Amino acid sequence: MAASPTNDHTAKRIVAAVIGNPNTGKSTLFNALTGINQKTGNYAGVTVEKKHGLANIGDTTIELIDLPGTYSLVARSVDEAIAVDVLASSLDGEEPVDVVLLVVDESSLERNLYLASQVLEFGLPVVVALTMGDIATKRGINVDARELTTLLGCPCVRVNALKGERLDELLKALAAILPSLDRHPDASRDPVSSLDSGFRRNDEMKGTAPLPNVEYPGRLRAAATELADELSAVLHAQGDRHTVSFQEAMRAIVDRHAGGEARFIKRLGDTVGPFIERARASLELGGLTPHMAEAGSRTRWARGMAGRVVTPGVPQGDSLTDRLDRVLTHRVWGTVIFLMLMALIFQSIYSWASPLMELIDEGFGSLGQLAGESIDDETLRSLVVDGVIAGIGGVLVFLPQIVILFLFISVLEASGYLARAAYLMDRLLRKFGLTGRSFIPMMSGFACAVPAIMATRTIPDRASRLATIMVTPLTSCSARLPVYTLMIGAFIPDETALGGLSLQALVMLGMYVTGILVAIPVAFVFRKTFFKGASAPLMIELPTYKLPRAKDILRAGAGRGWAFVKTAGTIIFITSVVLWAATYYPRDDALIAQFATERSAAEASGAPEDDLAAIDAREQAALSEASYLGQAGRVIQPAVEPLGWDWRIASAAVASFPAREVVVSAMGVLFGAGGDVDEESEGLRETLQKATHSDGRKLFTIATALSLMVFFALCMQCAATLATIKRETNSWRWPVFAFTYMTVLAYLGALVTYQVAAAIGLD
Amino acid sequence: MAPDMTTAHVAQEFSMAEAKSRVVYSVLRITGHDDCSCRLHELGIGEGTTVMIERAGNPAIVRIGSSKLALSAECLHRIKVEPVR
Repeated sequence: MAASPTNDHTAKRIVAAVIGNPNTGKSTLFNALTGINQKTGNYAGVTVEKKHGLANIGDTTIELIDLPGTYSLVARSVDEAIAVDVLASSLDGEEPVDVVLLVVDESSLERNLYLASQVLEFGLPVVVALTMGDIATKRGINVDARELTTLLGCPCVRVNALKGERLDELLKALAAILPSLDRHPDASRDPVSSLDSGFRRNDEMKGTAPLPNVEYPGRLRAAATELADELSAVLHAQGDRHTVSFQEAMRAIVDRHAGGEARFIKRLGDTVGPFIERARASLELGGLTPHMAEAGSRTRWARGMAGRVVTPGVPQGDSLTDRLDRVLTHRVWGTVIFLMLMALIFQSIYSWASPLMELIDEGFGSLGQLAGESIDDETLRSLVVDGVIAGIGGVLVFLPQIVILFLFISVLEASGYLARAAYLMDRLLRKFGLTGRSFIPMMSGFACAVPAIMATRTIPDRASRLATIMVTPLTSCSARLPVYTLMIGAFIPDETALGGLSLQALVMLGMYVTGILVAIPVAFVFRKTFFKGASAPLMIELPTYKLPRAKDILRAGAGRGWAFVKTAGTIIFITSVVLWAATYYPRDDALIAQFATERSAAEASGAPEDDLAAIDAREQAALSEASYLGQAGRVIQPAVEPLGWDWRIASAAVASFPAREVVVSAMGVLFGAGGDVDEESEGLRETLQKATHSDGRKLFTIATALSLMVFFALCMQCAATLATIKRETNSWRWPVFAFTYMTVLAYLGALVTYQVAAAIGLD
Repeated sequence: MAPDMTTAHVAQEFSMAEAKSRVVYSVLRITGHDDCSCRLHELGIGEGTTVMIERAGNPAIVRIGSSKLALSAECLHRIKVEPVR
């Protein structure tokens, strides 16, 4: 690997990977060390978010990479695999790691030392940050940090990230590895070897990071030693001067399912496969399961280490977490509180976001007007105003809702409640072939399916993960809201029902419930058909409740919001421009001339502005009908008539393929109310209320409105979601599958809704 | 006849799925060879760990030291325990 200019040691810059168990305060420490000097991006080729930042100490700059929280380096999920790949410096385009900052929870030292044993065996220099000291103290737990430093052979610094205590000491410990790197300037980026840097350093940096003395069973140790010798011989035969370490051989033997073996074969070539298989087979024949034997050895090592440095706490009375858990994890009360919390969150999202959404909408409206007035060329003006500005505005208008939802999710996550919600929902979701882990993505789906699908990475088994990805777009995301708002406002009577509840609010709630009621049985069917196999059992930590820090929450909300704008925004922007072209072309010159004549005559006769605007709207509608999109609507009209739709609704549905919310502006264009409309526009509502079929029958009835809403509740009209599914599954097969099944489901749902509603007299 | 200590010891062994709430147990071993069994070790449950069911059910809430885990019954069946005397 070529030396990276940013990793030039003469400039005193080092790269540190921050790793630790989940809930150890790793991200809080990362934030405290890097402050505002943070960036988020993606690792090359995968969608796992890469968070990195800079910290300075003296004349040394430390680039910190915040790795996803993991309990082990045996990677079972996409997130965990990234942590291993970063440590091994085996990701293309990523800088090699110089030092590992291992975050260890002092209050659960024994458990945290399991990961520590694996990290230390990687052979990279390690600095340990001991966190959660305050919780340990409260529980009477005392850890001898000095003794731990001696036993692990690496600096252990007790820090308090929230109070900023001893952070400089920690950074100094990280920077102190610089001389050892200078002694081995080529250690991490030696192009001769095919091995990863982490293990490569085992040879060249012996003494800088002593390896933990994990006592493996004799037979496992012997097999790993023999394999190391055999593989070293293979390397030497290939002209590689490096040797394979005992730890490397051990990983190759024990990591069969988690990709360790594959990673190893990738580095050394196919010829080593039979050696590994033979070593493993001989152990299994003797009744020893390598990965279980290794896990047991590490647990014993961790217990031994903890036993020497931890003074256990005296049993305490119930902590605040215990008292809260008595209620919050209670089968009945916990569920009731959970449902109330969800209702409160969604209520807040809509009420808090509305003013901001209006502001953004008005801002883009003014921008469009300004652009319209300053561009003379008609085609360019239409492209900029109706394509570009309307496209970007259409995305950004949902940003407040999405950011607010993310803020709530961040609060739930940081407070420790989200794990309890997953615990509560596990029992229900398991009945339908999902697990509590599916809950978080499905909940995020109420804001936007794009980050929700990304959140499925924590689901370890592929079948459950794919099933969750497939049904998450059925939860009602914020893009459905404009469709619901328009239809309910225009066609559902403003009356009370069910003892004083607003009928309009009930229909809105019904739309949200429809998504969930359909998603759960669909998941069940998928798990029985396409995605068979047992779900990985629920195994999650329920962290201590904490009061989240506003700074961290705001940072997380802003980061995720920006990620949404970049991911979804780009796709929606591009497709909006394409959609504009489909509604703009072909230009019917005769039609344009006819309306120009009509307009001139009206102007000459001194007709009021409203009449002139009506002529413009009719012109727009006529041109839309003649456009490619209008033609497409005409073609599919026979198929949508049983849904109570005409060609204009069909065209608007086709136009909303890139994003559901586009249907509102598309209907504005197609029904001649103008493109600059939103779901609150009185003009559009009135136009729709007055719209008729070609035979003069009223087009929009309650039945039609319900049919359209059900269609949009169930359809997959979102290019950004499809692109995300493609990226997450690394295949076009699943986005095509999702689009197909959801479109069929949406059509059938709309058909049944219209026919039933019409039969009971709502037509 | 003197009691067979081995038999007496084994007779005390049962899975955590059968354990009583709010009683402290000591883990004897983890059975099974799959990812779930391995993950239990990674989460800090191994031979000698003291555990307690804090809330029974499926999933159950299990206390290990000062941490709490939500574990499904499938996992609990793999954890063989004996009461702490």
